Amino acid sequence: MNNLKLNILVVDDSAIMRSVIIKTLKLSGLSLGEIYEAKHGAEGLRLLDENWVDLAFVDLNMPIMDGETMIDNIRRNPDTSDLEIIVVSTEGSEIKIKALREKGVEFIHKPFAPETLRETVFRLRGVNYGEFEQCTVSSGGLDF
Amino acid sequence: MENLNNALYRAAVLTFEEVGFLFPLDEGEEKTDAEYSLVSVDFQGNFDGKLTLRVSTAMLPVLAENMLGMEDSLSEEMLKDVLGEFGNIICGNALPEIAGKQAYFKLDSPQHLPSDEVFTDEAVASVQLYFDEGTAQISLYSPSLRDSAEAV
Repeated sequence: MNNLKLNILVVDDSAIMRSVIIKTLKLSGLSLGEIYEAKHGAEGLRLLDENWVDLAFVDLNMPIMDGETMIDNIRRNPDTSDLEIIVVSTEGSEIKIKALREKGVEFIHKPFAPETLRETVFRLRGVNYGEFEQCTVSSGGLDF
Repeated sequence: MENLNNALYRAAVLTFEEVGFLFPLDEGEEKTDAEYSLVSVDFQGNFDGKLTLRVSTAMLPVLAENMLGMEDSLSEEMLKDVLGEFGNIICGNALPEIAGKQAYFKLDSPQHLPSDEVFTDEAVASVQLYFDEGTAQISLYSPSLRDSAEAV
């Protein structure tokens, strides 16, 4: 399994939702590097300009700059066009969700179970979650 | 109107259970001396309006602790954020239930209001949830939705 640490960006106008996402990531077993937080899309873009980020979690409804505008900017910029993005939102419109997926983003609907967020990240990173769990259990001492 | 109440109820229960890990009681009563907190989420789309969420203030630290798994005391700002996020999630889940998954809505940022705020419009739907920790009232205001319901 790839042990490189992931640098994460979490963009949501709700501080508590940012904390929930970060906490879930920390408990997921993923190897995490730097974690950056932003309250809106413009702040998120500034952080992307200044730092290397491997994976971004983006809300849609935010003041100043919404998530979709932020994603459009990310995809237009050659330096960030391939950034892996997971939208975490209450968005319920099937048309809207389809349009987002066509921009190459994953989608998690709020409310979400921690397992959903974990499995989405693992799928995005090309890691088989079942194999990861088996490795984690084995290294916990059962087989040694 | 029953369908609107049902949609509100389902969205609210889903949010309190899955986000706040609080499970509503089958019945209860509102405490007259309790303190309440109120948030409003305006939206535009297939129909415009707002959803309000009024909860017992005592519930907010419980919800925050359940979300974060921490027992440390949280700032007032964080507790307001919890209320706002609950309003946002309930609204975002109720509207597709009412209008269908092809409908599109844009939600504004939650607005915190005085707990005794009076709304001039009549709610088109309203539900009350009872918990061991307090009560939550969720109301939907939409003049256009009310007009179309009355026209049927």
